[in-house]
Amino acid sequence: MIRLPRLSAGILIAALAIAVVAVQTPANAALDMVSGARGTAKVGTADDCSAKAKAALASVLQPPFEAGEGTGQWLGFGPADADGHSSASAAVHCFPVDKGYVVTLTCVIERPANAESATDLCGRVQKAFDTQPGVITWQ
Amino acid sequence: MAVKIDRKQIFALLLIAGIVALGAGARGAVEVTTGIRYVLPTGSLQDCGVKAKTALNTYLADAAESHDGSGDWSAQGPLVGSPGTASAVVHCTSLGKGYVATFTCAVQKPGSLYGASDLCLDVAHQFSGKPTVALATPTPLPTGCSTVNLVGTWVNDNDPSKSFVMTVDNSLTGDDGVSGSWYLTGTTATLTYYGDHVTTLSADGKHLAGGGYRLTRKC
Repeated sequence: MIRLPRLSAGILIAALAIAVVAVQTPANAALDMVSGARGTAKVGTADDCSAKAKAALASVLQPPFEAGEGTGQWLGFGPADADGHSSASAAVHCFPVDKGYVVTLTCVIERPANAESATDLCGRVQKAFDTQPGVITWQ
Repeated sequence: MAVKIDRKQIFALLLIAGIVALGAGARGAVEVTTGIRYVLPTGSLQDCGVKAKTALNTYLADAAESHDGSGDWSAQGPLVGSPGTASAVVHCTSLGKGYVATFTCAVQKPGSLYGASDLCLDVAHQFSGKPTVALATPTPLPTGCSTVNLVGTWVNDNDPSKSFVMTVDNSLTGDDGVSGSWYLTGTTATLTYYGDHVTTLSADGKHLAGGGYRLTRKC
């Protein structure tokens, strides 16, 4: 134990000042948004794609929802903070092409609230989507 | 009376302050939406790319394809307002003799003055040549030396290199990035910035004096 009468008070003030300034200072937050990989399945339906999209988003983020029934456009958000705000999101677009489908991924991260990059998030969504290696060609 | 404090407590205090400091950046949220999907029976991927780039650059900045020929276009913005609070992606995909274009938009709240849906609708409509609705832009600061507010940039008469920016939301920001507030009643202005400073606004609205400050408004 050390006795630091003046220094301790100074440290207390410094710590409080840091906290107060931090709360008052607007964060230099910014969106990190990327277009992820594009997958092409030669065989498969849009419903297959939607099922995979839903499962992939649910495993990486929170339970997703389709932006309009049958649209094949799925949105997932990361866990909400105490204020109900999420700092991560991913969108999966499915649409039929010939006898298969094309799937595109888009991911968004709010920096610095979330440390993960949008690219990494899209990578995780892609990996979760790609449950049958070889079926989908990714570009 | 002396306060006993050990090194662990010092460390804990600084750690708490640090955590609060980091947490200060976690108050926003991402708002993401998917927009209209266009399926055009004719047209090339290049046509789609040209439209995508133009549409994105109308509302955001520096639209670029993720790599040549990918058909994935993205841009960030907004053009006016807080940088990095809006973003959009357009995916172009060949389909038969035509193409499909999909839109995904994101904004940060608070930060962006408009919603992701508004952005996506405008980008999509711009893409297709449909009428668009003007997106919200920051309210321009009142100009002139108003005597009913302190909005503007105030220069310290004693040190012209130092100034304050006061905005319509009664906030005040100094050169050091520290925020405070202003409040005006009649000609009495209270500036809260490292304590309260009671000053008097001149009849022409251009000068503040008192409370240790002498400031002149740029107007």
